[in-house]
Amino acid sequence: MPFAFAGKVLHVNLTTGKITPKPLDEKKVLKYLGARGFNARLLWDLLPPGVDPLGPENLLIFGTGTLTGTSAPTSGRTTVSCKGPATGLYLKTSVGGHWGAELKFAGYDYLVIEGRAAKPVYLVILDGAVKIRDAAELWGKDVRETTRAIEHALGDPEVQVACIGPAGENRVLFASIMMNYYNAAARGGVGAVMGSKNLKAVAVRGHGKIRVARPQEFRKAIMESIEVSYQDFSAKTSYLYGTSASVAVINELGSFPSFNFRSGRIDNAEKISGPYLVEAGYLKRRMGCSACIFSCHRYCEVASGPYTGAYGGGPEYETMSALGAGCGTVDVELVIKANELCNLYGMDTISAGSVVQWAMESYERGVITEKDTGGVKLEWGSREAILSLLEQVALHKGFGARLGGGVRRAAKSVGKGSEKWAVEAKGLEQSRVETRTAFGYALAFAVNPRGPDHLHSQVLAEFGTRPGGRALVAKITGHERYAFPRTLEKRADIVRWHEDCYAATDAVGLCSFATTARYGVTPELLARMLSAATGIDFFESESLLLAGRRIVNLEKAFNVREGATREHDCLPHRLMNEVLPQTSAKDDDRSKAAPDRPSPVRESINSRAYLDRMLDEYYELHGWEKTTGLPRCKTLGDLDLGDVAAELDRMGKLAKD
Amino acid sequence: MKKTTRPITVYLKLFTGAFPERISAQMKLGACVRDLMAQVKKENFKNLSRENSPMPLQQVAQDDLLLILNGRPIQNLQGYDTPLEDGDVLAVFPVMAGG
Repeated sequence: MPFAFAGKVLHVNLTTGKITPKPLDEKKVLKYLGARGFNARLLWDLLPPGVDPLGPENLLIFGTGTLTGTSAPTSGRTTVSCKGPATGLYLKTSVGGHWGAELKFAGYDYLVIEGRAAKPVYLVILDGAVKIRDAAELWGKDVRETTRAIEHALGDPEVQVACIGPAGENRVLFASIMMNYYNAAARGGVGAVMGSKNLKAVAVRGHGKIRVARPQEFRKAIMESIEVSYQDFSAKTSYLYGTSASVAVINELGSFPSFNFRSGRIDNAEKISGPYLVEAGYLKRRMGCSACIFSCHRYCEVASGPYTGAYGGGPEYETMSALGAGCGTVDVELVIKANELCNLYGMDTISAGSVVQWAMESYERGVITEKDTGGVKLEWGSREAILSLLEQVALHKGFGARLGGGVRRAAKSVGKGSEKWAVEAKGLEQSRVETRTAFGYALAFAVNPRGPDHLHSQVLAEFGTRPGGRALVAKITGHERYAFPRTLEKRADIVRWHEDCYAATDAVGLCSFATTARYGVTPELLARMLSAATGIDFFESESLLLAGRRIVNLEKAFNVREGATREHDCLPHRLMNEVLPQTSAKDDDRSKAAPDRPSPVRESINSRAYLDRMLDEYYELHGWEKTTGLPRCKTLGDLDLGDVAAELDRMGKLAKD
Repeated sequence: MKKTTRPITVYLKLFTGAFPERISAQMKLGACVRDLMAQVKKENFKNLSRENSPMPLQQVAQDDLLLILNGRPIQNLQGYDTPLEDGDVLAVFPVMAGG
C-alpha cells in the first residue's frame, strides 16, 4: 500500500452489478496530485464526449484528497465529479465533512459509479467489503430520514452516509449530494446525476489507517501550517462567526447581492449575519470537517415562532444572500427554515435561492402571474413564496416543476425577456459575489469551467485588505499596487496563479480557507506536507503549482472536447449589461485614490469590453488561442498532456502553435 | 479676508458585535483616517465595546481591523493616510475571510 493512499480505486457498475476494485496507480494519480485532478483524468479517459449527463453513460466519481485521512490541517475535502447536467460541461464539486476520510479508512481512495441500476439501490462499503442493497424503502425519504435509516439498518451511528433527497430523485438540476446530513456537494447538479443512476446513498465505514512516509517531517510541516494559519486574525472570526461573518462587511462595501443582483446592499443585513446568529442565540454548535483547524461550520436552531424546531447545518454566507437578501428578506428565522428545507430535499442553496428570486422578479414585472403560480403571490421577502417554491421545486410539483432546471431553462420556458434577469452563465446560477465591483473575481467567474462561482479560483487577495494578500499580489505581479479590485490590470496574472493554487489545494484535499482565503498554507508548505506524506520528493512548490495548472488545462480540454469555445466564458446578462446602482451617498472615491493606483474602471459593470480585455490577457498567459479559446499543442505538451492534445487535434479542436 | 478652519464631522460605525455602535467625531480639516482612529481608540474603544462582547475591538491589532470608508476599503484609497471629508462614514470591523 503506497504511503498516503488506501491503495485502491473502486469501480461499481450499477447496470451489471459488477464490483471491481483496482489497484491505484500512484504515479498516475500524483501526476494530477489526486482528488479533483485525478477525477478529471478519469473523466477524460472514460467518458466519451457528447453523452447525456443524466444517461447511464455518465460517470459519478468520488475522489478523496491525497492528504485526506491524515492529520494535515483542513484535509477533509473530497471532490465529486461528472459531466454536469446544468451546463452539459465539466463539473467538479468539493465537499467537506468526514465521508472522504472514512472511504480511505475503508480501503478506497476513489469510487467510480458507472451505469444505472434497474431500481433504487444504495451502496454499503464496510472495511473493504462492498454491497449493493435495495433502496426501495429509502426512495422518497429526505436526507435526514435516509441517513438515520441507514445508520439504524447498519447498527452503527458512526457510519458516514452520502445521499440524495427527493430533489436528486426528481433530477432537479441543482440537486446536491449531502454527506452526513450537513456537508453538501452542491453545485451543478451532482445529486441529479446520482438520482439518474437510481443510487440513493453510499454508506461508508472503515477502521483502517493511512500511513505517511516520513512522520516527523510531516508533523513539522503540519505544526508550521497551523501556526501560520492562526496568525491571521480571520481564523478567529471564522471560528466565532462562520462564513456569514462577512455579511455586514460585504453589505458595507455595497457588494452583497440583494434582490436578484439588482442591488449590492439591503437594509439591516446585520440580521442575517454570523454575529447575529451568535448574539440572538440561534447558534447551538460550531463544527469542523476532518482534521479542520478553523471549525467554520454552524449548527443553528429556531426555538420559537412560526419556524419553531427548524434546525440544521449553516446557514452559510452564500445561503444568507441566496435565500435571504437575494429574495428580499433579512428574516434570519425564515432563512434558517429555507436552508433546512434545502438540506432535507438535497438542493444547492445558491441555485435554489436564485430560481426563487428570478421568479420573484418575473412576478414583479408581470411576466408570471398568480395564474402560473397557483395563486401564490411571489412578492419580495414573502415567506409563503420562498418556502412553497422550494418544496415545489424539490418535489417537481406545480410552478416549481418549471424551476427545477435552473434559471436558464426557466427563462427559456417563460420567455418575455426574462433571460435578462436570469443570473447565470453556462447554465449555472452565479454564486453570491458581486463581480461588478471586483474584476479579478469577474474574470475568475467567467472562465470557471463549471460556471460562474468562486470555487475555481478564490481571488480575495485582489482586495488588498490583508498584508498576506498584498504580499501575494506583489509576488505575482511585481507590485503591491495591483492589490486593487476595481481595475482590469493584471487580473489575468492574479487569476491564473490562484487557479493553479486552488486546483492543487482541491487535489491534495485541503480547504481553500487554509490556502487562497488566508494565505497561511503556502504552496511551499503544501508541497512539504505532500512530500513527507507520500515519500516522493518531486513536489517543490513550482511543480505543485504546475500540477495545478495541468489540472486546469485538462478541465479546459474536457470542455473544449464537449464543444466549448471563448463564447462560453462569459458572465450573466445582468452583470454584463446593467451598472450596479451606487449604494453609498459618497460613492465616488476618485478624488481619494492613491497616485500609484492602476487605472480604475469607470463603472461598476462587467461589460463585454472589460471582459474581453481580461480574457485576451488570460488566454495569452495560458497559451490558449485567444479568438477561439482553444488550447495550443505546445501548451498541453509542456504540461505533459500530449495525449490530450492529440485527441483534440483529431477532433479539429486544437489551436496551431 | 481671514481664513477660517471649520471642523469636519465624520461618522463611525464600530462593529463590536452583530450591530454597529454609531458615533460621530469632530476632526480638524485635513485630518486623515490615522488621526481619526487614534482619537477613537483613545476616547471610545474601551467604553464602546460591549460587556462580554465576543469581539471587543480594542483587542484587535491595527492590521486586523478592516476599515471601510464610504463603501471602500481604505487600502483601495490611501490607507491610513486617506484624508477625511465632512460627512464621511467609516465602518470598523475585525477582519473576516471566507464566503
